[in-house]
Amino acid sequence: MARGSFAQILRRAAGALAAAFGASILIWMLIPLAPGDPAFRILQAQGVLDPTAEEVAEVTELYGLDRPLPEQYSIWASGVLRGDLGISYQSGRPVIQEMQQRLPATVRLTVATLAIALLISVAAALIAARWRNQWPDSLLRVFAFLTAALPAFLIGFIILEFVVVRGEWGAVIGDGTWAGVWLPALALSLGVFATWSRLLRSDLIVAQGKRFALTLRARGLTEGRILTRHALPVAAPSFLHAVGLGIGAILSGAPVIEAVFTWPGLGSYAVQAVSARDMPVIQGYAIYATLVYVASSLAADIAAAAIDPDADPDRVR
Amino acid sequence: MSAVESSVGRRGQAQGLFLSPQGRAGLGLLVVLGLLAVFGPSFTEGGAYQLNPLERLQPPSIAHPFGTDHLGRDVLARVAAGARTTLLATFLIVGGALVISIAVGLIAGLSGRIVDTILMRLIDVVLAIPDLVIALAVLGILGPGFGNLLLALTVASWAYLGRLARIHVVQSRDRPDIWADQLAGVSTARIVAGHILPHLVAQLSVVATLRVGGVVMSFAGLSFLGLGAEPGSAEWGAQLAEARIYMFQAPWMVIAPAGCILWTIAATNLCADALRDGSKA
Repeated sequence: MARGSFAQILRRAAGALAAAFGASILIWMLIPLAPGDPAFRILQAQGVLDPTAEEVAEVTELYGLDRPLPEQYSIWASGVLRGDLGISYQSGRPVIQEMQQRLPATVRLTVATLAIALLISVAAALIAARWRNQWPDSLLRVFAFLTAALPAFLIGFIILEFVVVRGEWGAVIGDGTWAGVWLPALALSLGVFATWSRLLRSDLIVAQGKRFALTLRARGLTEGRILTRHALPVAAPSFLHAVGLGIGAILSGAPVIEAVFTWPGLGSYAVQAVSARDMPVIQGYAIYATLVYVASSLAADIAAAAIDPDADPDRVR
Repeated sequence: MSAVESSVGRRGQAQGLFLSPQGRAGLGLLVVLGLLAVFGPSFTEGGAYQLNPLERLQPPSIAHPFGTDHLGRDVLARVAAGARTTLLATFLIVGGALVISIAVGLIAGLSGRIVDTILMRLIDVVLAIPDLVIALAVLGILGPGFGNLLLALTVASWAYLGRLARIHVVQSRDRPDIWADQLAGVSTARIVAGHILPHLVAQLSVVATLRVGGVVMSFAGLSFLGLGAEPGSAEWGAQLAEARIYMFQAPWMVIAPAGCILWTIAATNLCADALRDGSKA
């Protein structure tokens, strides 16, 4: 890795940290912005249905809800850093405990989705570039077009009704285990398939047209070998950048897919919280999703820079 | 970034839409959708909410081309009303996002460094939060509902466009025609209104069409989950949620709204691709 790119990565990391900090302010603002007295709602969550003025004053004092807003933010933020995300209005239990219970299911879904999405998009891009403008390419183009036009929730719904209900394969109510993860993960991964596979295909074709590919072809390498061994590494950095952005799309799709498959993860938890207007839970989910998104797009850019010293992580495509 | 670079490509873009096969197909699909939205409800007597318990779950026929649902309502009338809802909602969401992003881009691009930096950092921060999480947070504050979902999706989709708008404004300050205007003593307000804004609106609209499919998806998806349009209302996502348990008994109840969603997103994606290719050329 060149020294210039190291400085660039540091700059990129500082930017990610600053964005995460800024996002935490926006996420914190959900409580002051939400209607109703927060102290009142905290008390109700703890089972005090008709709190007295003294009780409200006590909680207001305890959480510093009468202090100036910057001070309220710092009280909240130091709580978050210690793992205190507040108490769910619905269940009266600490949000962090409920999130810890649901985290493994969401991690399984995210990992499985990434694995499937990477596998099918890279395979499709290689096939489409190898048989460019022939029937495999056209077929994959139509397939990508359809997946781009079908919302993930609809794909999930169709899979659920046909494979699970009719085909009796898999479970209607997601149990959160590895065995049950593949159908929701497939539905979710098709959401990024079109972007990833089409981008990689066009970058592979550009790489195939470069002089190094001509040289390799002259040396008698097969087109398939040129693609997998030589064009793929050349196309990888910009693909990795797209993967980093695509993780945001996966995180955006997860709540809906989890709700469709009743997957016991964080996303379906957040959707329930929206109907109940359970702000601490929404905050907890927003913190989780933002951290994962910021960290994974940073990781993707670092990986891209590691492969390609010329990569500019600030480049907007 | 290609969409911003070419400030001369407006004619090319329009040509891309009308001349390329993709653009023509997309426009054709959109016209059919528009006709469905405008005239669809008048094909059938009674409209989207007319209950008819005697004709529950009827398969497609001449009287009911797309069949009837579990309450005997005409499915064609319902998807046509859903087309109105979706087209109006998408127009309001994308239009709202365009207005916000153009305002932010102009303020950031024309103000001093401090305002510019603050607004750009704000955009960085908003872009660090996944779109749907922003929409869910806004829905959490305002509560679920049709109007609130419109607002939530608008808030979730302006930031990227705002960044492009600001880049465009900053770049256009260096355009020779703008220099000439400044030397001739034309007021800033007139330069913005007459020379910067038209290009800016054209460029951003092209980029915004790329996001229309995503907006239609989020709108239907969140309504499917009961966070948007009221359950029972004539909106495709809400209809799918109702149709779910009748999937095998009355598949037309699912196929009609699902097909409409596919049709709409396919049409807007085709138009967006044609416009993008046109702006490259």
